[in-house]
Amino acid sequence: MANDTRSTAHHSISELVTGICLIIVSASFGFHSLVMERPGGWGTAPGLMPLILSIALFLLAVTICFSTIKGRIQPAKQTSQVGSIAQTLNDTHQHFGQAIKAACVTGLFYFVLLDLMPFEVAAILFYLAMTYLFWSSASLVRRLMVSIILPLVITIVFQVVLHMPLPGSGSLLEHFIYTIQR
Amino acid sequence: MAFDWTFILSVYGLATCFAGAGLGIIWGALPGLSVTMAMALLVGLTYTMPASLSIIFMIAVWTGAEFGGAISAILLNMPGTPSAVPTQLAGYPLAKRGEGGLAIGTALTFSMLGNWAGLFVLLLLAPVMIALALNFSSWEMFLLVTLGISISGSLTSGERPVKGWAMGCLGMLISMVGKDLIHGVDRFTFNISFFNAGIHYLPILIGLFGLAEALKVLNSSTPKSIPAKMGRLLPPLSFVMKYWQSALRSSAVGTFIGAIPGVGANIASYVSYSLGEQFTGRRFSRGDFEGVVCSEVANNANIGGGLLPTITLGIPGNSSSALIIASLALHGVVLGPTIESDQPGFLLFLYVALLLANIFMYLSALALIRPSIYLLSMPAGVVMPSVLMFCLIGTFAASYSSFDVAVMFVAGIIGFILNRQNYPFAPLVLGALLGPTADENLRRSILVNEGHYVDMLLRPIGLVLMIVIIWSIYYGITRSTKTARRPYSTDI
Repeated sequence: MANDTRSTAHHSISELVTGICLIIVSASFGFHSLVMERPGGWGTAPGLMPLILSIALFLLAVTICFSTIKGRIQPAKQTSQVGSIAQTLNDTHQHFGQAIKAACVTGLFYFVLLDLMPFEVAAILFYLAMTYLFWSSASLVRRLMVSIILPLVITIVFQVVLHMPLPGSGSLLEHFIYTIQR
Repeated sequence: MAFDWTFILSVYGLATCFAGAGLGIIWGALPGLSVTMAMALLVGLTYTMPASLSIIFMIAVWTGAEFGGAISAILLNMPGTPSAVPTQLAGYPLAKRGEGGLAIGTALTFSMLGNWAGLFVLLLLAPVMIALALNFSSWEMFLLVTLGISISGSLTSGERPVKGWAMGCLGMLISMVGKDLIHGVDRFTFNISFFNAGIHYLPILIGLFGLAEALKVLNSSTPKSIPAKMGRLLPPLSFVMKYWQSALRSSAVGTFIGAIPGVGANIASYVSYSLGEQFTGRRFSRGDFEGVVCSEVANNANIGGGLLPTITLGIPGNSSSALIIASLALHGVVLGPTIESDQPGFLLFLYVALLLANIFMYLSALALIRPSIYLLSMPAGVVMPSVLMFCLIGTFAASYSSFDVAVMFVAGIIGFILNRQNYPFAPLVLGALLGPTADENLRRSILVNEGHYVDMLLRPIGLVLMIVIIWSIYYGITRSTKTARRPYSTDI
């Protein structure tokens, strides 16, 4: 019962935070719509539609916040699932942490590694990190094999078969093809 | 740009159709990867293709993936796609009894029949809808978009439609960023040059349906065992005779639900499944071929239904058809009532593509069912990083813009957080896609009808649309109030 209350409270807070974020977003859009220039009056003003939408979003966000505060609706679907609630709560936190890690690795791969090294090398590092995080049951050799083979397959498929450029500062395969063609 | 249907019969056309259907089946079969995710990730690949090949590919992927979900649902008790959950309920007990092969064969045959039904309705109603839509004024177009978003918000957000409507508004607000189409005024650009061209909806789509979904199923378990024996695959003809009533009913349900903006195959298969139980008086969850028929016919008929408002009005019937719009927009093809005059031959091309995709789906499935079962044992730790990689490459390939990749990334993270709180994505996507249409048409109707606003409000089509909008909002509010009075609520 205590865990049930904790889970509900946790989700109520996160719903409230989302509701407040939506209020801020709508207020910000609304303010900028009001100060936007109106060449042909309000009827055809560029800010008309955004203003209407901002007001609607503001009211909806306030409704979400109020209904969460009043606790009229059971907010979390997790609490209604079958199984141990303590386990569910633990899994939810663990999953959120894992997702954050995955997002960080992906961001690091695209915004940092791809600028520093060829696509294949960056992709191998990306796969190594991901398999380390999410495929811990596999042996190091298997993880290494997957981390090397998959980036190579992706590079060949995109550059040779589909003729599509890969993001970043170029790839070893691209460089190789260019050298051969010269 | 010309759409010549005979191109589909060329080697390129047939090979693309076969590859798309095969990829779709494999993708759909992999647990946790939805149809929309498959299309969102593959849409980037279509950028380098001609528009005609691109539409063949996307239609084939869609058709294949809608069926593919049934394979893992029946054999592994893990639905490949969310719309395959009812198939799992009725099909997995059959697999446990050693009739898994026949259950998959039934799903395949009736998926094909569902596709035919959807295509038939599309053929029948598309010209009527186009003729009707050509009479729409700016005011009616504005109301139609508002209706699409309000209905989508009401029906996709479970017990709290306010969340759906909030997402619709947010999507429309995002689409307002950039240069205003009428006066050329900068809106919400904050002097950042990247915002001048606006925020394109494709990275948002890939972020929401690719990145966010991948983060959601990152830790999903890998199937431990794969049944050694599947048994007979193709059902006897008597099955078609036996279940024709269910097939017909599910076709109607799937097509009708598909035509409602923003509502996809998930709802269609659930509604059809529960209607099937009510009509037959049996519990399909004990293992029943008729349950498989109801679910599979509905989610495949949904394709034709979903394409109806998409091609005739430019309003996506579901998230997958939003990706068809996105794929064609990459090639400058804009769907809507004027499609036949803008792109002569497009409708016939689409019908033939759907027809062939359906046939190839059947043939590819027969060839791929057994090998794809072994692919299902791939661990999520290998599949999910590849999905994340495809999100990045697909977004980059569509525009060669790192700003779009950043938008995709932010949309994915926000989508992941919103998804945990049961905020639906469909209204947001609809809003982001249709926001500029609503904005332009509202302001144009005010300009054209200046001083005659009462006449504008009393136009018959507009009046009907306004009544339906009010009804959809009223329906959402009353449903939400009823739920609030109950002590506990459960999401299915």
